[in-house]
Amino acid sequence: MSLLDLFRFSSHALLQNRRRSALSLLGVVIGVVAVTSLTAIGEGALRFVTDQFASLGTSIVIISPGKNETTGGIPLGIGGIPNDLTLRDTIVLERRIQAVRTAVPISVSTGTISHLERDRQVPIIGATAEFARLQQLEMAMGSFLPEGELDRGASVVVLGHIVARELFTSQNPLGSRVRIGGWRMRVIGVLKERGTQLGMQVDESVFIPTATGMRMANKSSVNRIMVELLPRSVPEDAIAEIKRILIERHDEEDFTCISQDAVMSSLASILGILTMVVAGIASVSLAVAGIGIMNVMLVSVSERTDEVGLLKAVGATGRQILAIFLLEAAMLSFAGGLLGLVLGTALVLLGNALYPAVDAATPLWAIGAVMALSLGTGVVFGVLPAWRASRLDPVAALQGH
Amino acid sequence: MIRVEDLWRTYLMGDHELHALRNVSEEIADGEYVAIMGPSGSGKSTLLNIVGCLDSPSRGRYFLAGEDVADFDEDALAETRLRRIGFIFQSFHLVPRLNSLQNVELPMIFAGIPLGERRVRAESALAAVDLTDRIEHKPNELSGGEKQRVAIARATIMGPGLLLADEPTGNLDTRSGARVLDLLGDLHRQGRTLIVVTHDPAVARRADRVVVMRDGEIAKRVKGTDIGDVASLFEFENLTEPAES
Repeated sequence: MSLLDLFRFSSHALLQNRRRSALSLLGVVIGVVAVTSLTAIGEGALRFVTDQFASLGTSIVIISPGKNETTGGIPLGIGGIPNDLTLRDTIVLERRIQAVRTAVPISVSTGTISHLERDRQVPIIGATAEFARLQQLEMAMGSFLPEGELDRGASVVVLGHIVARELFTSQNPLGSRVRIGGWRMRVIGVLKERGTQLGMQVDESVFIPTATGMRMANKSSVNRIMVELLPRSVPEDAIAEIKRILIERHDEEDFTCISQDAVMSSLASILGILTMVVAGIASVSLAVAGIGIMNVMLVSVSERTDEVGLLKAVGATGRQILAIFLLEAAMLSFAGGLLGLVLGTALVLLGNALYPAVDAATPLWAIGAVMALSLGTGVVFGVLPAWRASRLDPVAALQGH
Repeated sequence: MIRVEDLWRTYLMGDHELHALRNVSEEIADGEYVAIMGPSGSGKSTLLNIVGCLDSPSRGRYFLAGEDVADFDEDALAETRLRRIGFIFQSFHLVPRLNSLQNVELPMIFAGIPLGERRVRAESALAAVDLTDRIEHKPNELSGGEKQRVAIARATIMGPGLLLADEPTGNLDTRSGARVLDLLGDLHRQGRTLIVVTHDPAVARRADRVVVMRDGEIAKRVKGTDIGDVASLFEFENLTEPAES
């Protein structure tokens, strides 16, 4: 029996009983739709997070004061008091490490900004000119913070989109004076609307030079140092060097370095595991679908007992009969898999059209796995009915038993 | 040549044994036309199924052209049914979803004969039983006589030397039955061995030889032309009873 004839014979039998074939592959369709759409959502979420990080720049190291470490015992002497990060640290890092493109000292505080009779509580971010590039901030009007000496704090401010709208409504804020705390500042720029981003409400913040921010808060230290690495540098090496220099300056490791890469890769692996788990749960439904196929094939075998007897009488071997029924089960489940893939993809595309923020797409490995799984389901659950058919006693089968 | 020696076929029905065949020995020469007669349950179909390699005896031996069939493995049995034996059944056993042509093609599919050749051979086999205009018809669109002629075309398509017919006219009216018997007679005249199981003396009369069975044993062997005597001899109340399925 040639392979082509085998396919022809089995598909002919399936097409002859369309409704039952369709119903039995429905289970597979549902399972495959579940796997394709759920992995697509997982992949979309991963991409969303990755994009968010990419918009922050991936080769950024953030240094914060204090050590994330559990220590035991009572600290002896004065060695336990952490040194703060300073503007000087920033300058040294930028000058002494080749891999560092820029180092931005950041101070964070909150305060009240007022213009005429309107005022508003806002986060006040002290930063430098490079901050706009690192955060990919875009200007609606005016310009971002001026370049220049780190410790020369000018009395200028850049407003987030919402802040500008709330304080100035339809007026042009450029050049206007606002008060922040007790300080009079000149508005030099307004940011474009940004929307929510991981960890920072850009639209509701105001930006001033770091030195100004430190003076306003009466502090000599900064809250963070944001270090941008050169594109071709190795983050691990750069971090090692940053640590070495800061330890040299502080006499101890009283700070924490976090690279954006590390955060992103751990987030990505969490999302990846989550996707696998969800896909695994969804593929359990494929096993259920397999039982449906087995059931239908068993019914089919018992309905076609007479046919099986005849096939044996005209010279079919047990193996040929096994192959015929096994192929029917495999074709059922594979057709269900294909249909599920098409429907699942359609569902994903529909979802993308409705929620453009998440660019969901079923990953290739999931497509391959789900097709292999649905085919395998048919084969595994088709074995029993096909084996039963192949073992039928021809005399009894021809008598309709 | 077909030779069976001391053939027994025993079924276990609960805890008692049922002997469908007891101690049957018989020889059928190549090219012979033999009818097997006997009441229902006399073992004639069982004998035919064993000769057709569909069933195997509980005891005894069956030689097909000198080979002991007990030595055949499952594949060899299938191969024997495929190439050396053609079966014709009372209830036709056509596959309902396949048309006449496809039904006749079936054995050739399992023999691995390519599609083009299958078509040509099946068409000419259907022409030989005068069904050229029924090639595309499904079994439920055919009369009983037409179905049996399709079955005959299928049984002969692989050119077997041995044809086995189990009540071939049992479900047919007299006229279509006669036509089927004419066809079988033609096939016999072309040199095939033909064994027909029947209730019908009119069928048996055409055979060279009649083997009469009762209770699983061969009760009598007579010439086909002497069948009238047999009927009276055994008081065949079953000659008019409904056909067994």
